[in-house]
Amino acid sequence: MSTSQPKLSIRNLQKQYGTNVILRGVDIDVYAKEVIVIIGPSGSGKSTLLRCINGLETINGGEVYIDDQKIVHTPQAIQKVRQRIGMVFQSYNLFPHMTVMENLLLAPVKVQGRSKTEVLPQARILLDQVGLLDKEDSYPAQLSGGQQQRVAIARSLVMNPEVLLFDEVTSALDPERVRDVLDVMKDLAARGTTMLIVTHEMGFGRDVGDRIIFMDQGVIVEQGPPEQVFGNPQEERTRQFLRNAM
Amino acid sequence: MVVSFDFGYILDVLPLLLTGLKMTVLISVTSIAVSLIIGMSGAVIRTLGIPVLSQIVVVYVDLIRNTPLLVHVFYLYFVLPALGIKLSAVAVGIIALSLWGGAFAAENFRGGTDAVPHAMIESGQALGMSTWQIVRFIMIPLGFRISFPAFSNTAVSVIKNSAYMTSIGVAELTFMAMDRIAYDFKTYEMLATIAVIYLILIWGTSYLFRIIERKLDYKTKTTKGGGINGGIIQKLKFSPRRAD
Repeated sequence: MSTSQPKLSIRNLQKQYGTNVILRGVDIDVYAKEVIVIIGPSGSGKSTLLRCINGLETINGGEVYIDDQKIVHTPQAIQKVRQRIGMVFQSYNLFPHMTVMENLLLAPVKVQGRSKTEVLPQARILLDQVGLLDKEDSYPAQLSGGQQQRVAIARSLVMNPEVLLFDEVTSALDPERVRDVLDVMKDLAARGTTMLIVTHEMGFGRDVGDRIIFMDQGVIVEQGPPEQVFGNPQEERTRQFLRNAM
Repeated sequence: MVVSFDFGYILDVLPLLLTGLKMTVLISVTSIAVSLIIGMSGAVIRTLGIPVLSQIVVVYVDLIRNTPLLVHVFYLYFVLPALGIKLSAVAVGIIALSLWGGAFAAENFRGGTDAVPHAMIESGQALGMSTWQIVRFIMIPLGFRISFPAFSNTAVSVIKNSAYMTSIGVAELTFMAMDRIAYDFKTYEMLATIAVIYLILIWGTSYLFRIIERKLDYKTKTTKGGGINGGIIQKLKFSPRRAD
C-alpha cells in the first residue's frame, strides 16, 4: 500500500442516536485511486459511516480529514467538502421534475458556478460512459431503476469529485439491472476513481475492491485484501457472516 | 306568478356586464398571482421552521382562515382610513383577496413542500447545494407540483369571492348587475346572465388549471406510475419544450 498521504482519513469516528451507539471508533485511511469495499450485516454502521464522511450525519466523536484538512460541519465548509466527495444513494434520488441533463447540470452550474457550455460536453461524455446518452431529455420517471442509478452516478461524477461514496446502490434494483450498475462502477474503478463502496454484492466486492472492510456493531472487525478477507478470514465473526452471505 | 324573461334585454346590457367581467378578471388574476407568492413564501418559511417568521405566518394564516372575508374587506375599507391609510376600493379588493388567497395557498403549498421526500433534500445536500439552493431548485418546484391541485381550488375560490367586492363598490361583474337592477328592475334576467358568465369564467379557469396540472404532473411521476398518464407522457415527451 502507498505510503503517501491518504486522500481521506477517518479517525476514531463515533456516532450515536440517543443511547443507541452506531459507530464505536472507526479508523480508515483511504488513498487516492483506492477502492474500498465495506461489507457487514444490516445495522453494522456501514451507511452511517459514509453519511458521517460527507456530513449528512453529525458526528459525536473523532475526526474526518480530506487531504489532511479536518472536515468541519459549518454549513459553508461542509458544502465545499461535499463538492469534493460525491455520494450515490440506494434510492437514486434523481430530481423528478428535471430531465436527465438538467439533473446533471444543476449542481455544476449552480453550486460550482461553471458555465453550461463547459459542463454540457462533459455531461454527455459521462452519460455515454454509463450507456445513457440517448436519455438526456428523458425524465427520471421514464427510466428504469438501473438507468436512474446510472444517471445518479453520472450526476455525481460531473462534479469532478475526488472521492465517491456508494451507499448500497444496487439494493433497490431487480437482479437483472444490478449488473449494468456494477459494470459502470467496475469501469470507474479501472479508471482510478477513489471509491468507498458499501455493498451486499460480495462477488462484486471481491472483484473490484483493493481492500475489504468487514464491519459489525459499529467497529471494523477485519480488513485486508479481498483474497484474505473472502478467502481466509481471520475472525470467527467474519467467517460466520460470509457463510451466511455467500 | 308569471315571470316574463326578456332575452333582448340581456343583449342590451351585455357590453355593460363585460366591463364588469373585465374588472372581475383583473382583480382575480392579480390576487391569484399575489396569493401564489404569499403562499409559497409562507410554506417555505414554515417548512424550514425559520424562527419569528414562522410564527408570523401561523398567526396570519389562522387569522385569515378563521374570520370572514367580508370582515377583512370592511376592515381594510372602513377601519384603515381611520388610521390614516386610505385605499381605493379596487386596491382594497385586491389586497383582501390576496391576503385571503395567500393564507389558503400557504396551507396548500405547505402540504406540498412537506411532502418533498427528505431523500431529495439529502441528494441536494450531497451535491454541495446550500439551503437556499435546495429551497429554490428542489423544494419550491417539487412542492409546487405536488400541491398544485389544492392551489387551483384556492384560485377558483378567489375568483368566486371577488363578488364580495360589490359591498365596497368595486365595479366588478356582480356590482354592475346589481347596480343596473336598481334602474331596470330586470332582476331575473340580470342574475341569470351573471350566473352564466361566472359559470363560463370559472369552468374555463378550472379547465386551464387542469391542463397546467397535467403538464406539471408528468414530470413528477415515479417509475411505479404509468397508468392513464402513460399516453400523456408519450405525447408531451416530444413537445417543443426544451431545457435550454
